[in-house]
Amino acid sequence: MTTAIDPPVPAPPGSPGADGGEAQGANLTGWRLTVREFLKNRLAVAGVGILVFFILFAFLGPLVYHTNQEATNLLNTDAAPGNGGGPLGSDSNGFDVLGRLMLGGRTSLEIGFLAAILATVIGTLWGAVAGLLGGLIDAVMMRVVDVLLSIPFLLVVLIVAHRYGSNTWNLSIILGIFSWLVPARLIRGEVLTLRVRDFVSAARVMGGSRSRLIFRHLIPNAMGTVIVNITFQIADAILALAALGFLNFGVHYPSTDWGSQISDAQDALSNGYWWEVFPVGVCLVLVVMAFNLIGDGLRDAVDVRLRKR
Amino acid sequence: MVDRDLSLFRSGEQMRSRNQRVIGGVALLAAGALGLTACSGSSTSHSKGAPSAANAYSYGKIPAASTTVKSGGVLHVAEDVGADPNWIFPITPAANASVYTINQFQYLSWRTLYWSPKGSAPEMDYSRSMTDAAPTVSSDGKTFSIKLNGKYSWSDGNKVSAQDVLLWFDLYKAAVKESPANASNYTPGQFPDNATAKVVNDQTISFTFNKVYNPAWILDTQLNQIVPLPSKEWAKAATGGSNLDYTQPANAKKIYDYLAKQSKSLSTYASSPLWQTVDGAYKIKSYNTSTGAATFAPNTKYSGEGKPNFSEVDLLSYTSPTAEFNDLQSGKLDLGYVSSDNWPQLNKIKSEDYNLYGLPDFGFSFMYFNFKDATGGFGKAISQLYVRQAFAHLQDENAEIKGAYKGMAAPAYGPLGVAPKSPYTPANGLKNPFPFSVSAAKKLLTDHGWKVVPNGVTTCQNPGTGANQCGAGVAKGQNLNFKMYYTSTPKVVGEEVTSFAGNLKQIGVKINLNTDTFNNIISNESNPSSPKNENAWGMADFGGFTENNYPSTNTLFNTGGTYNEGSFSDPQLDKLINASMLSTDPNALKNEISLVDADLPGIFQPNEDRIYAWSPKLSGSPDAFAALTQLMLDPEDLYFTK
Repeated sequence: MTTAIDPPVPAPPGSPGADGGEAQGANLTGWRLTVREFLKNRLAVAGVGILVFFILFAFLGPLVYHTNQEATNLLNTDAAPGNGGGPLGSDSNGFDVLGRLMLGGRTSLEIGFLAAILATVIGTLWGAVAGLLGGLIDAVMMRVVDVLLSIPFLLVVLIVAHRYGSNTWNLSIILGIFSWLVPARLIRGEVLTLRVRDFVSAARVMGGSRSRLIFRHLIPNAMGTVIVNITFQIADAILALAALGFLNFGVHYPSTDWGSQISDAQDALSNGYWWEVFPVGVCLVLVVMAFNLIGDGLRDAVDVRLRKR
Repeated sequence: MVDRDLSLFRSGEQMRSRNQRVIGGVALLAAGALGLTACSGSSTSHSKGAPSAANAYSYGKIPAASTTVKSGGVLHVAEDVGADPNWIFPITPAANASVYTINQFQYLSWRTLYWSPKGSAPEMDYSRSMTDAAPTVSSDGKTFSIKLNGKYSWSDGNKVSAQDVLLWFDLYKAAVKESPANASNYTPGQFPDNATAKVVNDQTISFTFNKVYNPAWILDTQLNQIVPLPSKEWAKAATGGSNLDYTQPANAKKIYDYLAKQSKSLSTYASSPLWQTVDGAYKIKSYNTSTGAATFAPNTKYSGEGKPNFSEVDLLSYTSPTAEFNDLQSGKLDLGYVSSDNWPQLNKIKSEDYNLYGLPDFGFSFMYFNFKDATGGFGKAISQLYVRQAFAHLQDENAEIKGAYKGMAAPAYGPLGVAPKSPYTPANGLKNPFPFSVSAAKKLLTDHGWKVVPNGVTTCQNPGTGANQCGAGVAKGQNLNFKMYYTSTPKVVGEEVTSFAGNLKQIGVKINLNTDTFNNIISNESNPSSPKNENAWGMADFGGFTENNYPSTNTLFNTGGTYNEGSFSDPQLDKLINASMLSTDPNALKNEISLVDADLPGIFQPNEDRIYAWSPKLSGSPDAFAALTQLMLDPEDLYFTK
């Protein structure tokens, strides 16, 4: 017995697969509807375009635009665009700013994705278990979430990052394990509505274990919420990384991230080195905005109530 | 057991302002203690032309003193960021000792017996001292007699006397007996443990040491700590109490405890009558316990060198260099520093006719090795001199000076850089013994059995102790990769370290770079302070140290030295350091420094100019402006012009 991985759209009445029945055809229909709705959202499509551009920029750009991002060039520091520096000038270490943007973008996207996936996995499991079991266990688990939500996120991340070092994997894990709280709440709420649905009851009656209920019925049916949330999680992780970088707790040489690149923004702007601040700032804004637009579009697309606004 | 007399930690280049923490507390003194030239006692004796300092590697210039002196006016001076003065009693605990608390706060009210530097030159300025010459040394070399010149008086009208010097000595002894931490520059076994004091007459005091020391060491590292205290006003153990015989240790302890307690009471700095008895040109008028900002009123009874021309001196507190720089631009400040982060904006200050002058202070910055780091065998590898030489070849000082410092720094190839000049600078301190050369670095390694893989991982292929082998303790297949910590501010430190890392990569050495705060690095990346961390780092860079007029590296690089952060050890250097302290050979210190330059206990870095800016309406002795670069504030030598 498979569960419909159709978050968004209930199958039409009378069709096979309604309420979680076996309905591969209905699933495809549901996803097609979702995609169709998503594509109607111009802002969301623009977000996808921006994101694709930056992924290509960060991951394929260095193959086209070659720069040395490991050996500094102190004899060519803070050079203005086209004035001894590259197209976007050079920074205080003499690194080519355009090449630096590519390197920093790659790190930011990698950490953003990894942290978001980790946060979503933890949050989804936590929320699903709490929502399904209910009662005292649910109360305890959600109070844990409440307590953790009351702790200043950035402070804890700063301490942990300082203690365990800052590299792509460490920062992804640190950001991920401190970002699962909101997804946990969302998924719990979703599961609370799903667990009383007939297909869940049917699965119970047929002897389905709790883990089967969670992994085969509840989470697949909450996937819409999960997918929407993950896009926001990525954006949040990128911003959190930028904050860490701004505070000098980002990744270290020879790596960099966009936050680290704007850590000296105040001095750079005061000194007139706009090219060391604005390009990376624009990149950061565009990527985060792209994820938010995609997230908004997905939310609208997967929620029938929001369609054809 | 060693001493690191009169030296202070200084962080990074920009903050080399030893604003952080002081180690050899009185280092401050060192920075500011002595000198001589006959003087008339009036401001007219001040230099009117060029300052008494070497001007090579300086930035800007100091205009000649204006002859149109205007009395009065409020002088607004910037305190260094995060370095609010917080201890007024001139026996300063280690926890409070910084040049900003001592040189630029206490010294406004209480003068040192010996005053240095002379302008920016690391030498005694006897024109500003309380004695006219170096002490007379007895025939057995143990007793040093000091005759006061009678030039300085207390604000209550009494002359500064030998008893006032003795009070300081007795209280200092009481302080360190109570706790070594009560005196920042105290080293067990040295001053005051190694001496007794005797008042010869009202204006003469002698100190007898337990053995014969180098007279320069005695003067520049021991006696220059002395700050005479008003014995007729302060020799009491309670407010309103009667004077006690401070030569009795029990009484001295009571007096010290009382004065130290008063010094802890920041809110009573301006109201306590204690702090109104001064021999300096200014006395405290107000103190902001929240910010550390303070104002000073002129001491109308001041009798020493210079004259308190201002009606008030205001020390303003800042939370960031940029905020301070903005006040300089707006004209709110009459005198302030320009941090390296703001150097690209120096022209803005210039366009407002502000005067600018900068020169390195007397000290050094370096990236030091951890010879105990067993991780990957790095400590054993770096113990090989040829490996350190290879590393030294990969530091491009010229590029650092041009790029990171925008040309505003002086080269330094050892603890004594090329500026300010010191009579103790050896020949190998004036010319780079290890000029930047990737090929030279590579050759040193390949000649000793390493397989160099540029941008890869260089490994030892020929272990052993032969001339062409990797050296003792280096294993086959071992690499040279290591972890390094450096301060995140100022920015130039990161630029230097990153450049170094990029150059090392060219010979297949990878540095795992980590940033941390100054305080964390001096406590964690230090084997004497944190032996448990000795395998957690391979190199570190927190900035460096300030120096006194007799810049021995005792405690820094001698085996077991208190501040020998990376546990460097060379028996030959130990001998030379000992000779610098005990030998009367005038070349002893130069020999010591020369070996340090060759031994490379660390990679020495350029010395940044400390740049100060002042309003065009502010003038005074060029030496006073030059002394700013050595972190001395001498408002008695400054005035507004008409």
